[in-house]
Amino acid sequence: MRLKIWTVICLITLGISACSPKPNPTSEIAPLDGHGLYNTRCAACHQMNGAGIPGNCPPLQGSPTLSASQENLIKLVLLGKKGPLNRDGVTYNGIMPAWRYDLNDDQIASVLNFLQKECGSNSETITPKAVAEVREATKKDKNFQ
Amino acid sequence: MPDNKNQVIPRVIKILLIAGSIGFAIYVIASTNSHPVDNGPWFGKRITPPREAYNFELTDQNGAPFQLKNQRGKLTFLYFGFTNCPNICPTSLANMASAIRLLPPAARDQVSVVFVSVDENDDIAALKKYMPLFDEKFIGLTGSKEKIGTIARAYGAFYRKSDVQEDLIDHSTNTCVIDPEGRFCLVYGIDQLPNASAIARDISRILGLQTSTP
Repeated sequence: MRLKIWTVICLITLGISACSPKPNPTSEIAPLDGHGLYNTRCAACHQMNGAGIPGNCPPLQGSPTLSASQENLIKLVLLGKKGPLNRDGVTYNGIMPAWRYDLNDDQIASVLNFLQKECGSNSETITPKAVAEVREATKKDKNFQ
Repeated sequence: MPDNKNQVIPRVIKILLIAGSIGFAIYVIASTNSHPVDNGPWFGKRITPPREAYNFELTDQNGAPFQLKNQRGKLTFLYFGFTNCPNICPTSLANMASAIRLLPPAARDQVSVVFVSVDENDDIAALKKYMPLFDEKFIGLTGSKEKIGTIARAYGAFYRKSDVQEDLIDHSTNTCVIDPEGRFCLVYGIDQLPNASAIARDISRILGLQTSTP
């Protein structure tokens, strides 16, 4: 009887070790949500916490663009921005890629809704349809305007 | 007495089972959670064996002559692109800057980023305006069409005018790494560049830094 108990204890120990955390291969191919897109596409400049980079990329907290019209915000993400930008008396000389080539309407809506939730003051949800409309309206516009 | 003998054998089995399972558990947990800094796999694709980097001479964003061999002693990221690139180049250069920022301040000076423009329209003035958008120390290079073609081929890069939009250039997106001894040793694909901490670990390893990066 005691041998059986010990055998059970040992099997449980082996079971626990076999269940230790392992990388989940499906997590690498699953579509990214707004937060995931932010981390992989935006955080190199805006930083994980949205603090930006002094002299290069302004902080997202308090960004007037995030609180501006949806159309202007979507346009910024689609066409990008380059060169000096003045915010609160501080100059930032950086570049934001034109994401219209890489991100689809759903992805742009997701990442912007994530940012609105984290840092913005607009409560209205940005829809993929709204992104598609701005994309169409700006399709002949030059990048980095 | 016969009873004692019968008990001794199961006790030995019990001890062996317990010791074995504990040892196995420790091995599995240790092998799953450890992140070897020095002997683990490289994050970038390793050039095996590393080969002497093709030396070249071009002109930098200040109008000064630039020779790759003068970067010896530093780790060099070499990238081919163009300043009007809407997405790939700015993202790649920003990711390189991000990885370098993870290094200890003293080590950042041991890394250089060299951007070779494959666009004939990118003159010195365009590069001078473009490179500080990422880092004041990043080096932008231009030169004759023939020279740049030869250099690109030496590093497996390609480019051509875009069929879709007149002012765009389709180009390869790999980032080459040249070690301080002047050897072409690693390549990063564009999908790897956002992983700044993994790239910083590779850099630290090449530079022989003792401290591991986050």
